Amino acid sequence: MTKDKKGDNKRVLITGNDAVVEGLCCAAGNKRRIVYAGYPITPASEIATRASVVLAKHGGTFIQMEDEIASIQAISGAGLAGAIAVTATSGPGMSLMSEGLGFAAMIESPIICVNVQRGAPSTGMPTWMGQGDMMQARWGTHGDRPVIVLVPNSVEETLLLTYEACKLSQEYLNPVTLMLDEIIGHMEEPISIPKLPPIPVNPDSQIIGNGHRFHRTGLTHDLESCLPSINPETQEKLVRKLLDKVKKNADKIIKYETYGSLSEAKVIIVCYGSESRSVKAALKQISGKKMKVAMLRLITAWPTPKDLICKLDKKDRIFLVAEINDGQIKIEFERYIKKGDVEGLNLMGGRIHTPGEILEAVERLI
Amino acid sequence: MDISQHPYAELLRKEMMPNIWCSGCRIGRIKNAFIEAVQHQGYNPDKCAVVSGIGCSSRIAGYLNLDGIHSTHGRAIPTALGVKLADPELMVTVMGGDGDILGIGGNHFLALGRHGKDLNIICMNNYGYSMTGFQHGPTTPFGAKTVTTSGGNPYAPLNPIAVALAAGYTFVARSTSSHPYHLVDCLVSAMNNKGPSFIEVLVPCMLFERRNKIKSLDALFLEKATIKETLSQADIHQNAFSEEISLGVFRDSQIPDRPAPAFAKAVKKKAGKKPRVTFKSKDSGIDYMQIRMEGTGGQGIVQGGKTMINAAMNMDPKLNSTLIKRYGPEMKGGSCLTDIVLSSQPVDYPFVEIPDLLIMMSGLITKERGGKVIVNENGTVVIDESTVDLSLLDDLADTVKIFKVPATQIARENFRVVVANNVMMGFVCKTTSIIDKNCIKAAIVKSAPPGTEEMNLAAFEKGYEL
Ligand code: SF4
Repeated sequence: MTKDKKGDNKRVLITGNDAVVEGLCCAAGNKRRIVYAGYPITPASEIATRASVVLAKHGGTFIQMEDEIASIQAISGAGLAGAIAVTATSGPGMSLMSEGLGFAAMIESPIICVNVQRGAPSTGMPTWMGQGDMMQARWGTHGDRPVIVLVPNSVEETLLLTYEACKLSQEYLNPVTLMLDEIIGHMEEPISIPKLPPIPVNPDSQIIGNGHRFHRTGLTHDLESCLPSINPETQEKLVRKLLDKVKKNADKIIKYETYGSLSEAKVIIVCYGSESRSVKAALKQISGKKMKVAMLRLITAWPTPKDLICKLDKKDRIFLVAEINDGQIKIEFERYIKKGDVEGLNLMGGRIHTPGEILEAVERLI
Repeated sequence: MDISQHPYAELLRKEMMPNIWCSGCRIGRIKNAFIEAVQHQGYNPDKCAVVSGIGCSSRIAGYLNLDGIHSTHGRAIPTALGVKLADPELMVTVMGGDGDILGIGGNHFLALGRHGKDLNIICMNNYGYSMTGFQHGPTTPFGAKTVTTSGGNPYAPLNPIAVALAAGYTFVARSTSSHPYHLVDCLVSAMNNKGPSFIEVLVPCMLFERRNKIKSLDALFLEKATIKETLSQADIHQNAFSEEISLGVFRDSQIPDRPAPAFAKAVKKKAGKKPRVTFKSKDSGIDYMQIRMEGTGGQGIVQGGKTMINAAMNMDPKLNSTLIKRYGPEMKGGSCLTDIVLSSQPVDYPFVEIPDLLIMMSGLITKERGGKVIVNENGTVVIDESTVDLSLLDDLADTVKIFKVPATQIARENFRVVVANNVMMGFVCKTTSIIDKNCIKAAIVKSAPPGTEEMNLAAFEKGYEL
């Protein structure tokens, strides 16, 4: 099922969770070792199930760890030793991984962390969707760190963004988080598995065992030697350098999808993940009616497409941020929108809006 | 002496000197013993990695001129495990203190024994948390004074050797920083052991000595400790206040033969040949169709849905489709539904709002919804009359086509209840003719558990013949 033998158009029916593993295999392409370390948790467990079977065939290693803390630490180590290093979890596991994510950013280990979001907080609704971890993905560790977060909205895009996550993590030597939600993780869609070039190790990176004899530490360290050096000047240089990796390349990293004419829109519906499928369905329903509504779907949730938002900001324009949380990404729009208005359309989890509910909200605004 | 002439110079990170340890701290001796062991064994330093956590002893990793990671508090073992999995040729050693490895990292210490990977764990036991001013830790002796137990430690100490033995470490030994030759021997044996190795190294901390009015733990270790060839159960116990301390190797065994998880060959199920069903694909003419299959967990609702979507794809490979399953936390007995959307265009909203075809295998969902059956007024309902209360259908519009079949009863009488979904599928195929018969049969063969294909096909035929 993993490889398409019968010709290009043969499609396989897989879930978003399955697609994560397929994306990893594309990134490894039998050239790189994949190390998957994880701990079972609904609704992400199927990623581990598939990884435990498929990775071995691709020269990879699957290991079930004792907890999520161990999982993220293991992949931080594996990332420094040259592997495509990945873990998958859901909100509660993500919370446990917070320290490890900051550590991976500090030691510049290229890791991939998948969060299949459930209804939250706490144990919440393990088998039902949520999007309440968007701010956690941005800030959920102590200190400032560069953050790259991708949010797919289909099975096919999950595969492609897993591949992209591997690529970005190597390019910027930084953790990349892939935010699915329960709907995307469990939904099945037919896709064809693409042939993609394997992602090479970043040639500028030091790999354990290759004779570099380097030291990495979570302590504040010198930029060149990576040795601990605890003073305000080193701290200033180090943290700024880390942050700049993403800040200065934001326009290269950021991806989004639009539907309808943004420039003519009176209402721009901002969305991401599974919720965006309702938004698009709603917009298709009114496509003949010349209503001035368009969609902006964030594929990269972090860094924020600040320049784009500022460019779109205009008097009398309303940004309706539709998300399954209490307005987490809406906060970002409120930060940058100075002339127009920002409204939220929110559910607390368990389901996405129906296209009908989206249209109602739009009609209230127009 | 110029540091570059030091016999250990090749393995010392000179730019990190001087070290941060208190004068009189003996952790440095353990670092030296490690270098001795690596040199003695002739290991290629490029293939040796050290990983440490947080604490005084964890700083060793930074002073060694090897690939090293100074990780977070307590997490050296999993970090090292990741390194080892990424490159199994490396010799990976974990350096840490008692608080780091046995306290905050205790779960990882236990798990490594079970994982059985070839890592060397060097646990420097100084009886407490030294870097933060000496608070009590997992190995602090009963009655010992620390900054958080000024009246004497009221807790029973944990015995690292006993735990390592129980956890399944294949090499377990105790030494002290006062017995450098013995320590080097232990390190060499640990490096040679192919499983997880654990060495407890007792090491004096000035802070502990001062607070407990011990003049010199170093001298005390030399006085009280005996190196023994063979050790017994009684030798496991020790603490800084005990009369005797036994040093030596408690276990040096081979790792039992077991296949590494990721490289174990997938076990092939012995199944008979799958029956072959050939089918012809064609343009289905479906523009947009919503299908819902609902029932109770355990009735094969998800399986039935999968058969349906696979069948649709068999029939018209160009069709776009989505399948979503909804069920509560309980896998059996709770309400359960599968939503399928088939469309000539990409599917956006993946949930079924108003089904064109509703397959009901129990009334649970409808009852949860307050008794209302939702279906397109020109749609079709197929119900299992052996499990659904027929009065639920009373309020449906006349235009809705209703078909009833005692699927569960037929399955129970002729096969097994689990194939009721395929009896249903056969009947749906016949009555609705949405999807070609052979396309469904091929889908059944694909999703049936190996060995049950024939029974599932027979159940389908039975439903089709009704
Ligand atoms: S506090 Fe204790 S363990 Fe730490 S460096 Fe000083 S003597 Fe050594």
